[in-house]
Amino acid sequence: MTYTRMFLCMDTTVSIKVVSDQDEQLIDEIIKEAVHNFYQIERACNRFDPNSELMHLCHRAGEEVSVSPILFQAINFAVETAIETGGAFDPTIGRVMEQRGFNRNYLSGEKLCSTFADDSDVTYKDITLFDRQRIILLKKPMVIDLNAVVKGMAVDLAVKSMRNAGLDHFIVNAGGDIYASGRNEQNEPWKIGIRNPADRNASVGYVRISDGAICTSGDYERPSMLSPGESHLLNPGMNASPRELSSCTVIAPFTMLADAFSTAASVMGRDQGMKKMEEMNLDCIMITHLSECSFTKNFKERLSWND
Amino acid sequence: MSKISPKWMALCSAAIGLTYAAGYVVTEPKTAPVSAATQQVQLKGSTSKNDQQSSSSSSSSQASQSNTKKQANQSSSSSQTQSIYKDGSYSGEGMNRIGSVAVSVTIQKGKIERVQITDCTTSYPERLIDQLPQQVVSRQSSNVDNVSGATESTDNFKTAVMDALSKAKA
Repeated sequence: MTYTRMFLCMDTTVSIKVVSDQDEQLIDEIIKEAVHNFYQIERACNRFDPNSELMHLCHRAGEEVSVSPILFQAINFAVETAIETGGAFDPTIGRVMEQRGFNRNYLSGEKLCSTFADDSDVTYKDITLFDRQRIILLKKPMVIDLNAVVKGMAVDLAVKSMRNAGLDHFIVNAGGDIYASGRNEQNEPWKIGIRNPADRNASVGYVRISDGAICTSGDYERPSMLSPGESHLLNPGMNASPRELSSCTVIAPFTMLADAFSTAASVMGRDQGMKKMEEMNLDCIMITHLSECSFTKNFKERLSWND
Repeated sequence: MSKISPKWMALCSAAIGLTYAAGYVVTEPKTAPVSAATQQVQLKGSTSKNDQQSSSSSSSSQASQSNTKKQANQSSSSSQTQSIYKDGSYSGEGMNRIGSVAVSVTIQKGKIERVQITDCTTSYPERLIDQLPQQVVSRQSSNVDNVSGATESTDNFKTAVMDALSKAKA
């Protein structure tokens, strides 16, 4: 039997599909717990909620602030990604994102305007983490944006809780960021299409995944309402959206890794991004605005690519 | 799938493992992030900015009212949304140009606990929806299990969520 449940979280639709012979009520409880993980992370790490733990931290520049494990791990991961990509990925872009029109809480409709963080040129180097004490020091007032990390992190957490509850075969999809566990109802590895940016109802091809994550970063779902042609993706160095790629898909053992690096590689562009993906041994497919596809070296064999 | 470096393997494992282990005690609805932050401020003994930042707790409406003014300079938003909802589950429906949707919003301790999609004709659309490029909800084409794409927004559910929240208002 398969069971599918859908929720709204982190301004996207989350669907969880389970293949199991177990009792429906039990599956429901397990899914509920997995979804609870999503909301826990959203509550702690939401820059659209002035009362989230994240926004409280953002207000306290210059202080050593002790934070929860969720927030610490999310920021730590974002900063490590920033270091790895030389700042192509940077979690300190929150205030700029607000100014580009990405400032509305999707549930309450309230808009944020964090003027406290206005007058500084911030980068990830202005964040200091003290691992043992779980303390974070922000050197300047800033708005941290964890949106390219927390969706993946929440998927991974949901996967862990579902596995711990005894489920083997399921798929968690947070608006296109997916972890596929075990096998589908035909007892095959899950068949995951990669959306064609130029044709919304078509895929450019599909991969087979069992126990792995696939995330896509693209400029075609969230355009900026203020600047035509701009999207929710931001090149921190240029203060503009990256224009070369229409989408970038990364496959990895963890969703948070695929999530963060699909965003980072989008910003880095085809040559630099591909080089980084090869270096990190991550499987990746990039699609340009001219619908040209580039793959990392062993992508097609490893993932049974079909186009 | 390829093997990633031990460093990133360790980073991911630690992030998920530590968050999972801590998840059950840290951010349960009853100990909202705000109060957790408050406790930590006091533990660290730094009190200088306490009244500005840590007292916007949802439980005390007086505190949050007086605090709203203080926070006005720092952020245009206040903590008003925190306590205006009654606990319970509320259904909401909405129509948009690609179909009808229904959600069930659960409020616990005055906060939105979850938003479940209870009916969604838009999740598996069979026709082309060219005129609404950025507003289409998750779909599955018939020959794959799932599709990975750029993160979709929740625009299609906006009216349904508002409908449910209007019923939840105290």
